[in-house]
Amino acid sequence: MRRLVVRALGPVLGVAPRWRWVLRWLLVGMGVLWLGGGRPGVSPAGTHEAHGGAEQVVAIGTDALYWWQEPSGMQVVFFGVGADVVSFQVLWHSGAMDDPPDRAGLAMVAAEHLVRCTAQMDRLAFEDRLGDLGARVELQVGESATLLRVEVLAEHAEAMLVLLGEMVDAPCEDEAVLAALFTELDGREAFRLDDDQRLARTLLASFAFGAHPYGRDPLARSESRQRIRMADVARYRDAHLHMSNAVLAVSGPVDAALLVRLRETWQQFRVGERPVRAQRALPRARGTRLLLVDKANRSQHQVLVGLLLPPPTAENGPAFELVRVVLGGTFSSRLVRELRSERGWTYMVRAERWRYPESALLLLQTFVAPDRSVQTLGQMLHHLNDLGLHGMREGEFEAAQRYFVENWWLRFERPVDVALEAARFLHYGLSPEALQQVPERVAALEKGEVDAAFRSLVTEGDLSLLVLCSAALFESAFLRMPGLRSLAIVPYDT
Amino acid sequence: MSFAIKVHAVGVVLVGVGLASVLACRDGVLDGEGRVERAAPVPPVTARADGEGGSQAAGEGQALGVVIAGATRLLAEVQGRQALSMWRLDNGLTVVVVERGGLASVAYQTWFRGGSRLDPEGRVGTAHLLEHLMFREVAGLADGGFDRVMEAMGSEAGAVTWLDYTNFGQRVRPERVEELARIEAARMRGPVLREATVASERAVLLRERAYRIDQDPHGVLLERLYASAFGEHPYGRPAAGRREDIGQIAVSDLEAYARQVYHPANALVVIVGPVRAETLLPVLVEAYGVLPKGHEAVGACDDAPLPELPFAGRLVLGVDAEVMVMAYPAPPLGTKASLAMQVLNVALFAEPFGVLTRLLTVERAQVSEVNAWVGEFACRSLWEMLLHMRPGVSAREVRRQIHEVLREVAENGLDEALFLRARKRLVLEAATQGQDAMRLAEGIGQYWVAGRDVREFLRRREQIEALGGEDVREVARRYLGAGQEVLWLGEPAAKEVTP
Repeated sequence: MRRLVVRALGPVLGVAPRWRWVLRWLLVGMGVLWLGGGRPGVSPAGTHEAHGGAEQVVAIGTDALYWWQEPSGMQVVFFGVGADVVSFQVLWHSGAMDDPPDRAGLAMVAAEHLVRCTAQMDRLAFEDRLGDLGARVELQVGESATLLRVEVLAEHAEAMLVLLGEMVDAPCEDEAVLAALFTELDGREAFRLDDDQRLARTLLASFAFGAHPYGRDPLARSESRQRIRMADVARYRDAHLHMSNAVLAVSGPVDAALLVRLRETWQQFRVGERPVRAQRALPRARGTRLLLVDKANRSQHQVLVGLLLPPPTAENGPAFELVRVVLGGTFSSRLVRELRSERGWTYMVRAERWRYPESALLLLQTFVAPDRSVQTLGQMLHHLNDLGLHGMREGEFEAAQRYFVENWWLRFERPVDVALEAARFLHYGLSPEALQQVPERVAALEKGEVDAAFRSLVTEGDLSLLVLCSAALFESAFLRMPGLRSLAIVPYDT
Repeated sequence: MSFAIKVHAVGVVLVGVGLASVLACRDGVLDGEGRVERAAPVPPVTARADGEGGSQAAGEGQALGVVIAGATRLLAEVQGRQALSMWRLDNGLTVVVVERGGLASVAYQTWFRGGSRLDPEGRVGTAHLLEHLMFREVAGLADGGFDRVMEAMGSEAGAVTWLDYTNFGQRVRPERVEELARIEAARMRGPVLREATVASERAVLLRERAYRIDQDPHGVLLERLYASAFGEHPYGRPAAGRREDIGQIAVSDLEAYARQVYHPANALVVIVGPVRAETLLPVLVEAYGVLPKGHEAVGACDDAPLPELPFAGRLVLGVDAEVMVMAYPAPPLGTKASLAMQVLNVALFAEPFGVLTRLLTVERAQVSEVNAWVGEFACRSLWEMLLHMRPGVSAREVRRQIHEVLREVAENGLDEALFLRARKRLVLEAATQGQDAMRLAEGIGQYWVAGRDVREFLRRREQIEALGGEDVREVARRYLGAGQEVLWLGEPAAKEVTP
C-alpha cells in the first residue's frame, strides 16, 4: 500500500527556464478546463437576490464562489454547485487559545455540548432528529478555530438548516449531557494515548508554540475538564460561538430561496461581540531544543521537527509551501527519497504547513526503527540546514513550483472542500480570492525569494525536535547530537 | 493489512467515524492533515464509438458489441448525469469510462485481480512488494522518474494491495489524461527488478508492516482476526506481508507473480470524470493495444475450506485498556444482502444514533471508541467491529450486550424508525461517494474484481432505497448466529496468552 504523504519535485523533467510563463498559462487554462462546463447548481442571479447584491465573487473554474458579510457580522461563503449533497459548515474564530487558564478544554467541551442537544430537544430527541434527516455531523476543535460541518441530502437541506439554527442559537443547558460528555472525552483522551502518531503531533505543537495560546491542547486533560461547569460553557458560548464570530460556508445544490430564508432567520440570532484578545508574542530564537517523550517498548520511534513560520497573510507565506514540498511534500522530495527510497528506514514522511491567523508551523514527521531514530533526526536537520544555507537546487525549485500549481485544484474535489478552504482563508484574515491567488503567487515566485525567506528562519535558530521513544535507552545518544541547546524528557501520559 | 482495513472502514461505510474520530484535532487538521488518502484511477481511450460522433457515445439504447479498431464495446448506459461504457481491447484489457461532468478532476485507476490471496505460501507479501516496486524503475523511466513525471502533472500516484486486488491510481486534470494513459500503459509491462532496489523496498515494506500492524494494537488484533476467520483460506494471510516472509521474497517470486497477474487480460482501467469515451478510446487502444495478451485472467474466488467457528482468543498488548475485535461472516460485495448488512451496520454503529454506539459509549460509558464496517471482499466477507474499552471495563460484559442486541435484531428486525434513519444515512454516504471521481472509480474497480456488473455500483442509491426492514432482518438471521463469531481480545496486563 502506498500512502500519499506529501509532495516534492524533481529536476529530471528538464523544466525550461521560461517555464514560469507556462505556469501562468496553465493557471488561466485551469479555470476553463477544471469543471468542463460547470457543475449543476444555483444561478448567480438567484444568489445575488438572496443576499442583496453585496457579495463578492471569485471564479472557480466556470463556477462562482460568493461571499459576503451579514449585518450580524457573520461572513457567508456560498458555493452553490454540485448535486445531491448539501453541506453547511460553521467556522468560529475561537478555539483552545480561548480556554481560561484554569479551564483548559473549555472550547472543546462547549463545542461538543452544542452538538448533543438543543433547548427544545434532549439528547435522544436531538440525535434521532439528526438521524431522521440522514445527516452526518462532524466537529473539529483546534487551537484557533472550531469547525462544525453538517452534510445532508439536498431534500433535507432546509430542515437541516432549521435544526442547525437551533443548535447554534438555542442550545441546551443540560448538566447530565455535560457529565456524559466528560466521560466521552476521558475515553477519547485514553484512546489517544495508544495512538503514537497523533500523540506526538499534539505534543510537538505544544512544544513548538510553548506558552503561546496556539500551544494549547484542545482536548486538554481530564483534571481540567472536570472543573468546567455548565455556567462556564454558557459563558464561552456567549462570548465565542455566535454569529459575529463565525463564517458560514454553504455548498451544494441550494436554491436562492433557501438562502433568503437562511438570511431572514439567522439575522435574528445572537450576535455578540467579536472576541478581543491580548496579543501574545510568539516564541523566538530559542535554539534547537529536543523533547523526548518517554514511552516504553516502542518498535518504532516517532521523529518530528517543528519550525514556526510567518502567518498565512505574510507576503512570503507562499514561499514556505515550496519549502514544504521540497523537504517532504512528494515522493520525490528530499526526505522521502533519502529516508524511504534510498535507505529504507521509513515507510512515510509527512511535511505539513499548519496555518493559524498569526503564525504557521512547518511540521516534518516520520517513524523509524529505534536504532535509526538518532540518524534520522540528524538527516532531517541536515536537509533543513542545507536548504537554509544553500537554498534549493534550480531543478527542485522548478519542479516544486510546477507540482504545487498543477496540484492546487486537485485538492478540492468536492464543492464542500472549496467552500471550506474559502472559510479558512477568511479565518486567516485573507479573502477567498486567495483560492485563485495562491497558485498565482506561487507561480510567480523566484527561487531567490524562497531561499531568502527560509534562510532567515533557519538562521534565527528556533527548532523544536520531538522523538517519542524509550527515553532512558536513547537519551545519551541524542545528547551527542551537535548544536542541541536543550533536551527534556516527559512521560507520554502526563 | 490494517491500512486497507481502515481505508475500507472510513472510506466506504463511514460508520462510527462521525463526531468521535475527528475530535481532538488540532488546527492542522483544519488544514486537512490526518486525511487518509489513496490514489486511484485510469484513463479512457477514445475512438469514434459507433460512427455517430455524438456526445453520448455510451448512450442508452445504443447497440452493444460495437467494434472499433482494437476494441469492442461491452456495455453502454446512461444513468442520470453520467454515461458508462465498458470496452474490451483485443488483448483482453477491460476499460470502463464514466463520463461525468461536475467533477473537478479525472480519476484514473488500474486494477489487477489477484491481490494478496495469490501470494505463494512462505512468500506472503509478494503482491504488496511488487506494488511498491511499480513506483521504482518502470515505464522506461529510471528509479524515481515515475514519481517525478506524476508530480509534474500535479498528481499523487498511490496504490493499494488488498486481499483480492492491487489498485494503482491517480487524480489528474482532464487535459492530462491522455498523457497519463500512455505512461500507465508502459507501466503495465511491470517494473525492472534489480536486486538492490528489491532489497531497499523490502526494508520499506517491513517499516510499513511495523506501522500498520506491529506497532498498532488494532493492526495486531485484526491480523489475528483474519487468520482465525479464514484459516487456511488465502484471505487469512496479511496483505501487508508476513514479517518472516518479506525477507524471503526473491526476484523470481516477483517475476512469477507479475506474469500471473500483471497483464491486460487480468486488468481493468477505470476512468471517471469530465472526459469523453469516444475521444479516449483510440488513445487507450494505441497505448495499451501493443501489450501482449499474457495469461488467462485470474478467477474471482478461491474455494479453500474455511475453519470451524466460533473462535475466541486473547493476547497481551501494550495498551491502557482492553481492545476487542469481533467479526461475523458477511455476504459478498455487490449483493443485496451486503447492502442490507451495511444498513444494519449503520443502524447499530453510526454516530450519533446507532443503537450500540449509543448504548456503549454514552448510556453505559463502557467503550471509548467503536468502529464497525462491512468488509468488501469478492467472495466471503466479514462484518468487523473494533471496540476500545474504557480503563477497568471488561470486554466480556460489552460482548454480552452486543450479543443481546444482535439476537434481538435477528428475531424481530430493526425498529422501523431506526431502519429508516440508517437507510437514509447510507444513501447520504452513497451520494457523497458519487461526488468524488476517485471513490467512484474505486467502487467500480471493486465490483469488477468481484465479478459483479459494474453498472450495479452506480445504481447503489436506488438499491439502498429499495431495501426493506425484512431484508435487514433476514441478513441478521442468516449471518449473525453466535456460532459464527470470531473474536480477539487485547489485554493491557500480563496474562496468560491463549488460545
